Amino acid sequence: MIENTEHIIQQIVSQYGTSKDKAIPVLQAVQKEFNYLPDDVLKKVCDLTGISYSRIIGVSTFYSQFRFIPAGKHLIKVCVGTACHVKGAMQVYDAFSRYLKLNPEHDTDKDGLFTLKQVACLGCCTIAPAVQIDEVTYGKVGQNDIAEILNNFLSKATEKYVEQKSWIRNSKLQGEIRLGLGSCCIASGSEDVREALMDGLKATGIHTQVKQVSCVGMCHQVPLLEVKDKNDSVTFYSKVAPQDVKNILLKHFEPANFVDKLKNNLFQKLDRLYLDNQVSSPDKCYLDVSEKPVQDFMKKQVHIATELKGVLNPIDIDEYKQKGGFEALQKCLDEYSPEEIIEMIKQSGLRGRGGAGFPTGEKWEAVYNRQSNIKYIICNGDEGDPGAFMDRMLLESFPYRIIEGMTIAAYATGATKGYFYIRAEYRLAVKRIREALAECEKHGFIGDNILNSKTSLQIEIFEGAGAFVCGEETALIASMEGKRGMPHMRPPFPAQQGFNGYPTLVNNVETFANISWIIRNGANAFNKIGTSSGKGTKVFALAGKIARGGLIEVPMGITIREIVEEIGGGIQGNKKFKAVQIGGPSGGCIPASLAETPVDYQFLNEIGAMMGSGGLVVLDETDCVIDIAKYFLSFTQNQSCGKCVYCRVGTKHILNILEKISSGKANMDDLKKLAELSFQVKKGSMCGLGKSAPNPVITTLKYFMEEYEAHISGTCPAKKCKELIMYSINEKCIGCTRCAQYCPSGAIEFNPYEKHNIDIEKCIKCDICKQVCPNEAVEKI
Amino acid sequence: MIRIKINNIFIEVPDGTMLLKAAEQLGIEIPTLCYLKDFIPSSSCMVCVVEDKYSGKFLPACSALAQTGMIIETDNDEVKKLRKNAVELLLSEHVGDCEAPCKRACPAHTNIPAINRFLAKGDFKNAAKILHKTKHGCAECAAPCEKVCRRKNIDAAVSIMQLQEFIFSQKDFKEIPSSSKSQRIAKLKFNSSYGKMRDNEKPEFLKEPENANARTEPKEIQSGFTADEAVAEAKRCLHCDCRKADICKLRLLAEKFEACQRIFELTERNDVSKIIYPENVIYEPQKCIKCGICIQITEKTEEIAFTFIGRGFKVKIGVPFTDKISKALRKTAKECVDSCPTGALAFYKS
Repeated sequence: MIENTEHIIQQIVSQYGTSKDKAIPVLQAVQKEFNYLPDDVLKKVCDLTGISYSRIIGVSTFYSQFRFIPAGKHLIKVCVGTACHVKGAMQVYDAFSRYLKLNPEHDTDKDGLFTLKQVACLGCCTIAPAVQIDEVTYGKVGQNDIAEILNNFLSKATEKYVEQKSWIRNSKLQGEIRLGLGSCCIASGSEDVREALMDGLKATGIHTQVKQVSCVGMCHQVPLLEVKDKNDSVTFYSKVAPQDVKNILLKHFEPANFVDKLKNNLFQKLDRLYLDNQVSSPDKCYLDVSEKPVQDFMKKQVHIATELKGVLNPIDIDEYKQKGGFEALQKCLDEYSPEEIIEMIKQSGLRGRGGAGFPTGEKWEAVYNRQSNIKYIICNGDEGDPGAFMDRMLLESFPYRIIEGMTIAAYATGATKGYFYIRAEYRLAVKRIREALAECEKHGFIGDNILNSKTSLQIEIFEGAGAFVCGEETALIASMEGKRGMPHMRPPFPAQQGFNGYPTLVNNVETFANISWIIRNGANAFNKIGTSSGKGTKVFALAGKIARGGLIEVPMGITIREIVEEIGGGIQGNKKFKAVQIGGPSGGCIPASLAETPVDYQFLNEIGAMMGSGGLVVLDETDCVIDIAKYFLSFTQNQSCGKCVYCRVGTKHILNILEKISSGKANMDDLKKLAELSFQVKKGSMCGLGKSAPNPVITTLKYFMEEYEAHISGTCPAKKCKELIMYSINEKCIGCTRCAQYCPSGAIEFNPYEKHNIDIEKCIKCDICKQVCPNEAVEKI
Repeated sequence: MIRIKINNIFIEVPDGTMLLKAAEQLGIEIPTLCYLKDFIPSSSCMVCVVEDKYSGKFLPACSALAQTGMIIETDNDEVKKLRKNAVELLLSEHVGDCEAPCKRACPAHTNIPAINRFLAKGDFKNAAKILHKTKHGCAECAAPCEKVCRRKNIDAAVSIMQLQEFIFSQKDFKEIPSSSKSQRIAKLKFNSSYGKMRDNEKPEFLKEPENANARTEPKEIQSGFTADEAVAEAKRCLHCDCRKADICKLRLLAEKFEACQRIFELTERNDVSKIIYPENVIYEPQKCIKCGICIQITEKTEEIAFTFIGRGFKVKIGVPFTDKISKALRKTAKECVDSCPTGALAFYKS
């Protein structure tokens, strides 16, 4: 081994320590350094840490983040989350694969520049289909954009890295400009808008404050700019492009001095003269908040976990304090005993927001009641559901609120050591939490003797390594202990024997985000919102074929119709509303006919779905439910830890039967077998993943039986299942040759000014011809 | 103490008692497959599933703890169906023959691979013991055994007929008592079989036979095989049979539940592979049910232990970094083979 390599490994090991439970962070650091995990490096890690060869292989092969063959210089991650899936993510993946000339055995191009990978969910559902190359996210990617994206990326990658300017708060400034900078906003170009803003301010000499704010939730309108002028009147601009920025600035603010004013006027006129098409009027982007769509989007929402959304600067601790932050913590430490807090949380009726909905107060009480010198508290941010990004948004936007909730929970349960378990893909969330933790430590909100009390809490971040099953609390703890993330039977519950065998409280991100509100406003205020079985609100990631997608927080008991039609503005493009997929891979498809169902734990369970963690993907008539069921099953099948036979082998068979159905090769016996097996897997699996994995099948069988039968007789009513459709060009063809130019398989002959034809033998059904045809001449039959 | 009800009988057990233990105290037997006393239950096979009528949940009795108020039913129809399906799911990914094709084809059901193993060692007496049952000898038979011999896919079938003739011709053959062991075991009806040998599997099958040469022809055709020739020919046997055919828990349960191997069929079966470990151990991953007992055993004492590799449906058990195989199973071979619930780990020269 090269000496240098050994030195690097030594450094990594000395940074993380040699204990077995550091296996995952060490492997992550090693992979970051070497870009994969070479055998000799792994062996060296073992030699230095005392972790056995068997263990290192067992652990590293469990998590999908780790690679054993070299990766390309850049990693292309195509999101195949639900929202991206329904918007054609697989076609995008195939297009990248074709462009880079990859095959199933090789995921890296021959120059070693790009490695292509499917990832579970990037959490950018509103800009689906999304692709992330290294740290850069691209949204609404089309099959024809591949070359452009790669070129754009390469040109960005060569640019010198610019140190991010720190935005200083200055109370003397007049007015402010607010810009959402969540991951999806950035993917939609917010970062470019921010740069344009900074340049614009410099050029005009305008003194105002640009503030990055928490996610506004109106992801369908981003980049969204909120301008508060010196008279405090607020104007919104939506879908802002960098070239719009300067004019927006000039509309609301006076340039600094007379010379600047003149200069600007002159330049502006010159700009108009020469670059007419590039300068736009600010009115183009003007978003009237009194306008009905915006009103509708906001009207039915109640903000508890997302309180002050679009207002708070995520990492500005002073502002958080000014707006009532840490008041709840102070109150708890000063006025309430742990028992009183637990009682209050019980009274509030808050249930776990991670999916299963276990009463939070009871969970706290169980940890509180255990006698132990050491207790742990874990914030579960291993959001892995495809089609869900609530936890990411909350972590990115409201880090202090979550830390405050956690600290209160620590005081109430007696925990002194805390962890944030966050998916490694959520880079920005990890970064913000890290910054926020440092700030809190500085201000005495965490650490020893919090706010001069006897309570102490140290918090660290643990980055997950890519395993959906680690959302299950016992699996999560196993992975934190440096093991394979396999769940075990409960009891013992984490509250009894959790992390390292000590009592441990595991709560979801959103659950913690509710705590400070409950303390400040009282249990009754929270209890009043919602239904008998579900109190308070639920944050949903609304995505799919919806006019206005985004992050919404709604009171429990709101109906699906209200969410889809009123908040979401109905279906995109005049299509018919078919169903909503709620709860991700554990949830189910609820047909439009049941749209009056109130969203809460009990009602959703009754109709066979599940609250889940909050993914809400809307489907229209062009979505095939068998395709959706197949999609979820391939996800859960791929994510099964492999412990119990029903999940490991059973889900594989369910998927096989679904594939048979979608290819038109199944018969009625297969349908019967599918239904039976689904119920058996539900009953016979050990943990929540397996027990809920068949839900997408069970609900679609229940509500869309006729669609299954149609597939058996050889047709896919939604014209989605590749094996059951053919592409053909009709009489509307104007002979423009676009389809022939774009067809990647040469199935369309170049035939200018004449009707084109598709060679069915060569057609790979990639859908490009249909997408590029200007005259709707390509149809699926 | 915790009070629960099992099959309508109340019982009090200490906190932390597994349902399996609680049932045992009442004399209620719950079938198990991956569970082994003194090991951490892996709860992977779900054969020990029981129903808790109180919560409506189905629980693996090997790891579920007794909880106040439980109303356990250990053998209702749903539980039985879940057990049977669990075994069937395991069988759906199980690739291997319980019994060798030759044995199954033989009208007298002679354990031909076992005979070959004795012959290969030069132990003609024990070979004769097994053959003794076949009173009428093989002379009249049309030799279906050779027709189905898997070695035929590689070069030519093993000369089973001539080998039997060789044994019959041993002068003390008549005096040898027939093997009592094979008579004691009732013939099991359940048989796993995996169909045709694939081209890429041929090298795997050739790992066991010591003789990779073509069929041995006796020098003197009239007098049949000499002792040396018989040994050489017996060494050509591929040993398709499962070395634990009579004690494999998976097979015994399949027999008991009348399971059907083909009820769940994968689009494509896995390839047969055979890994030879030190101490005479053969590991056939396609027979493994991934319970991880061998991991627990080897972790304690071996320099290189078994581990799970990968995850989910593709998970397999193996040793890390392939070059270390020779360091595994040095001390624990017998314990691993004895504890493995299936034929995945076996002594191949038995």
